Amino acid sequence: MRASRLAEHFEDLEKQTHAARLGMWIFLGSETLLFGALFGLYGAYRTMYPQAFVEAAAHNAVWLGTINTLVLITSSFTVALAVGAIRAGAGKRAGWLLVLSLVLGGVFLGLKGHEYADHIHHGILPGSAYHFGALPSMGANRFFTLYYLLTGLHAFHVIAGMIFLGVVAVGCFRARYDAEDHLPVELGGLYWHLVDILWIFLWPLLYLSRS
Amino acid sequence: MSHALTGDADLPQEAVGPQETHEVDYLRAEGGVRSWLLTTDHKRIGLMFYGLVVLFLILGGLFAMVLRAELITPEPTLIEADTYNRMFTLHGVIMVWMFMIPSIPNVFGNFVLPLMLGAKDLAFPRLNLLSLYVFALGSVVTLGGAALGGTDTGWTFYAPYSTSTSTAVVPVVAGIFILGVSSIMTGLNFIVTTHTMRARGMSWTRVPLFVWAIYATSVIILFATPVLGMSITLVGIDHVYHFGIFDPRLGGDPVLFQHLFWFYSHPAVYIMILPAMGVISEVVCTFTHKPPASYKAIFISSLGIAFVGFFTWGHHMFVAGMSTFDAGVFGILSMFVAIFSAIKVFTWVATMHRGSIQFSTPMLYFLSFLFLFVFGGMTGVAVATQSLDVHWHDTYFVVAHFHFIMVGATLTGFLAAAHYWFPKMFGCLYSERVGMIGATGVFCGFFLTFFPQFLLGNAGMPRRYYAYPERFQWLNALSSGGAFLLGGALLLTLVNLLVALKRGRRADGNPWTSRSFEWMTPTLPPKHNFAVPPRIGRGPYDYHLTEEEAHARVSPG
Amino acid sequence: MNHKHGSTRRYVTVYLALVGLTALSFGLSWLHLGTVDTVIALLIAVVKSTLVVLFFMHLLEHRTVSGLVLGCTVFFIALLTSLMAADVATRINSTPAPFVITGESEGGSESARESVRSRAGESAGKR
Repeated sequence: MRASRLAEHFEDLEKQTHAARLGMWIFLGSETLLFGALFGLYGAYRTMYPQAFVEAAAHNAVWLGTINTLVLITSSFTVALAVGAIRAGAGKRAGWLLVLSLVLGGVFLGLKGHEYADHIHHGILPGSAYHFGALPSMGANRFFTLYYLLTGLHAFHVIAGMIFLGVVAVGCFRARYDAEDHLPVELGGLYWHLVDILWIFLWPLLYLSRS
Repeated sequence: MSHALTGDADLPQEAVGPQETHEVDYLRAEGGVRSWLLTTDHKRIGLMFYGLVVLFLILGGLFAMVLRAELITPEPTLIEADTYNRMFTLHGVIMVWMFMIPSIPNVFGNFVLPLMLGAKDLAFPRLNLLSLYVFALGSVVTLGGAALGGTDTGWTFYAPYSTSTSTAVVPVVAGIFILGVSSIMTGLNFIVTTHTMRARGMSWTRVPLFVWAIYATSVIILFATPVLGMSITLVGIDHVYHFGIFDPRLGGDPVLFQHLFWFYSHPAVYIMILPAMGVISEVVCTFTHKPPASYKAIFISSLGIAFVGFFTWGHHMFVAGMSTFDAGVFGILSMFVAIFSAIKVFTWVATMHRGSIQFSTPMLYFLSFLFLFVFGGMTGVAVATQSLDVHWHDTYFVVAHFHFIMVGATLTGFLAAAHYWFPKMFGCLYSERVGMIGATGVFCGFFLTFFPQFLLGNAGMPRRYYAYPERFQWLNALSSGGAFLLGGALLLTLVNLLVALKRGRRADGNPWTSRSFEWMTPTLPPKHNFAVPPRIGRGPYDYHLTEEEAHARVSPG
Repeated sequence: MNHKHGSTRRYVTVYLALVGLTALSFGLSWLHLGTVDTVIALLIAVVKSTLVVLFFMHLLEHRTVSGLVLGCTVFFIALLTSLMAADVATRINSTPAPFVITGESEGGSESARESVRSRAGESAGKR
């Protein structure tokens, strides 16, 4: 069992685990820079249109954003518990905790979708299609274009993370992992926490400004 | 036992350790196309990358030849103005993303990095193979975009023109995005490998300088490439759905595109040059039979260039409408790169001092690298100076400057590596005489091509222009002549290596009597490099040891 | 088993801290603190993400190199954002061409442009 887990080119399991973890961390770092480009644009456009950004952010439903923040933090918590459970060898419990996280991820996307629908209904579309009468300025247009890009990219990551967690959850139920051998669960958890962290920053940037 | 890892062809069979007798080399380990296409062996993957990048070098080179032929006369010569625009764009795109960025890391890094570290393979062999296929896919998509008519934005895709031109921007930027994914995969693999797969006894100060260079390169790839991905995605999706994120009519600012683009593309210059510097560091030590004048100076300056390289992107934008405050900041920060580069140059020169220099093709490439890199670097400092850049911006001066770095240094480094590691990769020797003729030809052709362009730029000829005033013709003709000489010399070099592949003399284990670890493996390494993980008991440049001692201190087990 | 219970308790503590910080950030946003508003909110976000990274992502147990990756990521994003924003902030005239996209309410866009213009004047005055 142990021998089969060790790939031929690694000397020992410890090195192999270290390599996989480090690989995941580097991947996450690289992934975050994808958002970095949009954060850069946000910084520049916010400096360019300070007032319009605050007004536009105030238009976003702060309650929805805050509930979503709590939902994602909770899902991050349940994922952390799942990793704790699998470390203690409780595969079934870990599986159910992951399912709970998936449900929370679903709730997040549902609320997000509701918010998108509401925006589209009001004519808040990105770029040239933007025609929101209450906030007609170019700055508000920039804000909502970035809002769509940032939350859209984030939603992609939520979906990717959910697929990752789903696969890992199936593995937990099928007793594929145990107290020693559970690296994919940890890696899936790492990815999900990144999704959470990104939202922790998106929330104040896109929702919390009161004018 | 002491020769257990050498597999030296001159040595009798009994000198080879018992545990690895008759291990088949990686080329003959398995047969058939399938064994190549599905291999996870870093050496085979490296070779497949080799084939691809050489193909793209030829393709990009052909475009360059056509461009130079067009510019021989001030009037239309060969092609339409519109074709000309698409062709220089493709030349840039192919050379930057399909040749230079993958060239040294993905070919030679893939091949020798695990050998240097005493590892059996890269940390994620399947990811490595995937990187190859993603690279191939990205190339197909990019070239597909070219087949659809290509694009005329230049390789920089500046908004707002790139978001409004009717040419095939979308497939080209999609292809570049995919190529970026491939280069992230490879960079990630290199960093993890360097951290986790070093043989026992290989402390951080025993890591060969080439590995340090590849490591620094990978850091840049990982943190800069996603930003490029995002910025060209924004340009690409503007053609599908008008986000207009850089469109002034919607309150956007095109200068911000340049910020994002150069946040990647300036460090990308170091993605291209650092691996070449790594090759050069290995070559100079091997062919002077001396340790580097300062190991620390070279590896710290590699990391320094990687780090400081991120601070300098704004010097491409001095006349783009960027604030004078930012321009000042970027101008000052840019100078730091020159400090680190100069440290390297002085260290290489000092390494030659009192060395027993062995004159050979890679050494010749080293010398031309040194000259061209210093020339290119110094003019780089000049164009990073705001007041001078206002005059030279968007002229042939800039074209000449970055070709001195990208061709003069990177291509020269690539050719040095191609000759230096040729016996390691293929187990045979190329003709040294033809190799040296090729190296001389490359140097002369190159200098003749790009030196006149400095003069052209200084006299005011803008870059990317299809027609020009007659007084520029003699310099342009000179430049074109140089380009054909360069092309011919490159062809000669390629033929020389191909002939060597067929009829080259069989190389023994260590033809350059190098001390570096990759030469301690058998001439053609077996599939998993080492039957037993080696234990490293010395540095990679311990030329003070005797041959026997040097081998003995790199022992299995 | 003991170890497991210990870690569960720690996760719960961290979770409660995260919820508490979220509530704090939410509450502060109603106080109309002006420009420091976003700065404080972002600082709280930094604290929250630090908690997630250290405890949920187990950075504390990992080798330092993971921390190095994290540090580089944060640093490069901060570098890109700050220098891009600095460019816009220190330009003499930071507004792009003054087109109006929606003709519905001239007043709104006028006031937005006005505010930008006055801010641009401010920054020009500072220099």
